[in-house]
Amino acid sequence: MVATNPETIGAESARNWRDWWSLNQRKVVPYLFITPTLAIFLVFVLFPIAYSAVISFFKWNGISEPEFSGLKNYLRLLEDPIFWTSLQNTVNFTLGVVPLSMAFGLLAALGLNRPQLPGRAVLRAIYFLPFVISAVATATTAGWIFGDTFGVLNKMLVELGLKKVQWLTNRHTAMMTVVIVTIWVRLGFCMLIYLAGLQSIPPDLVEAARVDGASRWQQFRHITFPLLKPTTFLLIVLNIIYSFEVFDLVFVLTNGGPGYATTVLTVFIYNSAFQTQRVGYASAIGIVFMAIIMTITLIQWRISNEGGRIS
Amino acid sequence: MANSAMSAAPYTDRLSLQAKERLATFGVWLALAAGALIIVFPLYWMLATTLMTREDAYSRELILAPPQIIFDNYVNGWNNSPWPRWYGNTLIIVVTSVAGLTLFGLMSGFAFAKYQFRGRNLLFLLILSTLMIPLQVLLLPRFLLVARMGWANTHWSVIGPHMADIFGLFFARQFMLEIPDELLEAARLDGAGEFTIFTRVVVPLAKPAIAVLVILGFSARWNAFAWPLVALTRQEMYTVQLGINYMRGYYFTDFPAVISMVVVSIVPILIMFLAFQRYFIEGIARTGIK
Amino acid sequence: MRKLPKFLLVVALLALMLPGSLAQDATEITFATWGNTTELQMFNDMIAAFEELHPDVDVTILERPGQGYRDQTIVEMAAGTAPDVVRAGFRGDFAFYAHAGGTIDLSPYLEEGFSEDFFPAAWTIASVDGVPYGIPFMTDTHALFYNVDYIEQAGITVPTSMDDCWSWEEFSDMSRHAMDNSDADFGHAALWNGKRWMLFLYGNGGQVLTDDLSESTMDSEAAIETIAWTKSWYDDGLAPFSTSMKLSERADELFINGTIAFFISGSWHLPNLRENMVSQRWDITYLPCTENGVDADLGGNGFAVTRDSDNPEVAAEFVKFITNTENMKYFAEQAFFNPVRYSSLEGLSYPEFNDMMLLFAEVAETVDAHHASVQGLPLFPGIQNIIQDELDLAFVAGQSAEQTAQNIHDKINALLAEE
Repeated sequence: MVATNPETIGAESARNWRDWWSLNQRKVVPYLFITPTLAIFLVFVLFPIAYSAVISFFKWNGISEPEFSGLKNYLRLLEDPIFWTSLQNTVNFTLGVVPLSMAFGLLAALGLNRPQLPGRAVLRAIYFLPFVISAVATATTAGWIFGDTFGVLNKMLVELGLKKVQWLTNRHTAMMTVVIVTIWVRLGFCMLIYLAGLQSIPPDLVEAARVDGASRWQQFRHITFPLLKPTTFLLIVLNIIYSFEVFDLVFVLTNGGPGYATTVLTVFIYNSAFQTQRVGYASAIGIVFMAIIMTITLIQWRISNEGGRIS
Repeated sequence: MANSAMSAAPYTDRLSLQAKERLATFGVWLALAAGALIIVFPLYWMLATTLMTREDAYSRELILAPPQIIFDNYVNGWNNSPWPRWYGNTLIIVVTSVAGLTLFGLMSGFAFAKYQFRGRNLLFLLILSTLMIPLQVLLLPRFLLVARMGWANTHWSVIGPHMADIFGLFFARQFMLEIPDELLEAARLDGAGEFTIFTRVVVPLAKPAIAVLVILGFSARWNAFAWPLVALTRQEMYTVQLGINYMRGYYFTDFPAVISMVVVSIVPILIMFLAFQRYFIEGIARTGIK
Repeated sequence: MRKLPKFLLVVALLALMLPGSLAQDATEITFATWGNTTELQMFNDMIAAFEELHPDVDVTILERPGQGYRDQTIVEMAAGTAPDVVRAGFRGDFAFYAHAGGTIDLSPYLEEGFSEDFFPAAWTIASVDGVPYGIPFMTDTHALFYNVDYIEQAGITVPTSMDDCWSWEEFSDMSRHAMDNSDADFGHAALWNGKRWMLFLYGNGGQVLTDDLSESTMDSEAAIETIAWTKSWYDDGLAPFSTSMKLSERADELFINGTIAFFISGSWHLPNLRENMVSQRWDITYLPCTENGVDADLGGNGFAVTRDSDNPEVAAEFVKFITNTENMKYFAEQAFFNPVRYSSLEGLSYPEFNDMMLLFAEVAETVDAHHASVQGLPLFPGIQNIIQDELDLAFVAGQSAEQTAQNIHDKINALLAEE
């Protein structure tokens, strides 16, 4: 019989463990590193979304027992004019915000990229400032500025002998006002990302074109803008996702009114769930909405990959 | 040399070229300054409103600057509600969740950038795809979950979900991709374990990324609205944004007082931004967008 | 860098401690309410008095914004974390919470004949099928506020009794007259919602639902007329668009700063007007009426006990305490509401605006019984939303009165069919 000394075994297994660890840690460690993030997403995002998907097949006011209702919520959605209005509003909002905030952002970035520009840092800071202000603060102030009667803007128009504008109380102008406020917020962000893109363009390239006699517009059109393509693409993706998911600003500024003129999908979902207590229905809208965003993003992905860019 | 062509040109032409350039710069400056004025105006108006009497603020005449400057609105707004408590809540929530999202973002960004492991791309895509989920769908089920966990009306109900951030993860990963593999290999050859590599090599190198994560995270968490609105129903647990919303929904709106509290709520974020602007902009430039 | 983890630890500990430190030995009752400074002060006084009577009970008041109060309550009921006592409005809240199982039957805690002291309309609204799911606390109604300076400028005299009330047409004329002949930019505005609009509908002999509450009658001639008339306020430029259903500017502020000459709303504005409408004089009179009927806005609220309460008996005791004769009277006097107990009317005297409060009380008596029963339905929040959204489309988005009536009609019927 061989007397086994427990201490030796302990030491041995510890050594084994250490050997195993030094051999395999590169395989194990990445999982350890991603565990917290993954856990948070599983618990606070994926689980609720699965839950929401289940609820979407029920009729439920949030408090009493849910009643299974099959596809009823989804069918109802197709017939609900407010759903289509809100989808249209979301699209309109996106079509207003994305190109305009990017165009203004690009213009500002091109201007700010001039090396001899006086007060560059100050201007850059000012343009970016609105981005760090909360949507609640922005919307509260915007409601105050764009008010029909109390609003300083209308008072200024009157002073100039012009007519008042129903910034937030007319179904044709309300969305425009929301878009204007959003551009105020987003312009600086687009500017900053573009500025970063511009600074990564080697100056000799543009300089060479200039020496070759290219006009400013030609330099931009044939050198700068094509080189900014990845930046532009990134901004399009980020801005579309932002615009589709815009909530705080609209919720506080107009709560979807007047009528349904600014009811975007997120506001519609929120109001369906919390104000009219149709939690099942709200979940169904949410699931459909998610499918729409995913489709759009997939298409964008395709386009970008076809352009020869693999992330 | 390219310059030789330039120096061959007549002196006067070069001068006019320089003058033209200067003129163009001035024109651009003028346009940018005009834009800046438009951008600053709402902020100015915010401030001006808070320094006016209620009568002046609601006046039917155009009053562009407070006729006499008063601070009553700040006093009224501040005394109207338990703001110290709300700022305390916000600070606890923001600091804890930013610490979490920075640490976890760096860890997972590092893992996704610098390791080969099974399921890497799938998991990364999975996490990225949650960006496409509108928050409003999650609110109620997430609240039911949080309540079940006993977290309803605690700071944790907000901190928990806010401790991971897709943009943070994405930025961190992009940044880590730029760290040369040789550096990590060299550390490994020196006998460093993976954790040591992370804490001793990666984290020090990632300081600019940390700055971006902290600043972006801070502003996002400070400004968060929809989820706290649902998760925190007890007034004593409110954050600053909920406080402003509370004041707006108050029986009688005293707008100058509300706006003065809006101004106060913006101050910390402005200080943060102005103090760390440089890191922030450099960070985005370095990490982003290649 | 080395200091960072310790700092984080401290913060994390702090975060852990804060929510936990509230635990206590006493029976804790949480009471969620909205309210202005005066009201909250009075609630706090009542709580102090209650705690003196019951030293083992600790009542915590949870202040919430009036806007979104229901949303929050529902979310909490869904999660099983609702406060013990919630405030519920006369807009179907009692029935909705009860129907969904969020609140409990209070009859085990009420003595025989407890309800007899209460105004029947208010008691009915707080009950479902005769079972009390809450105790009403106060009621309020609307009248016509007017800017005395403007009325004098325009040479208008206002009705001095309910029988003299202006017809709808007369009122529109007066509104225009005041707008044209005084410094007012607009004639009038209301602080609207779907519920408040119903006073004109019932005042015009219309009804939201049939007598047995089973179907919509919103396609009636009376309904179309009422929509057309209230829509004409905006179409004719008498009322500012910003005061439509989904308001963007508050009508009370427009009245205070002299933009409008007439203002339709309730008595709770009195303290605000006293404090802030200092440069101009103001008063109240009767709302315009028709020959077809008479009605008034039925505003008000009370309290219910939730199923999530661990101490329903104590919670019910607390609700009974704050709604007792003395407290109800005291609250009504200080916050300018009307009580809903007969016994609270005895010796009721308001420290200010006594005459105005008498006028409000007089108007409140005219609330139509059917109107009250509709507001007591669990579906009423849904009905109100429909009315509100469609009227907003009529007022600001050009939807015709007929189309609006039809849409409301169809949507209410769809809502009724769902149940």
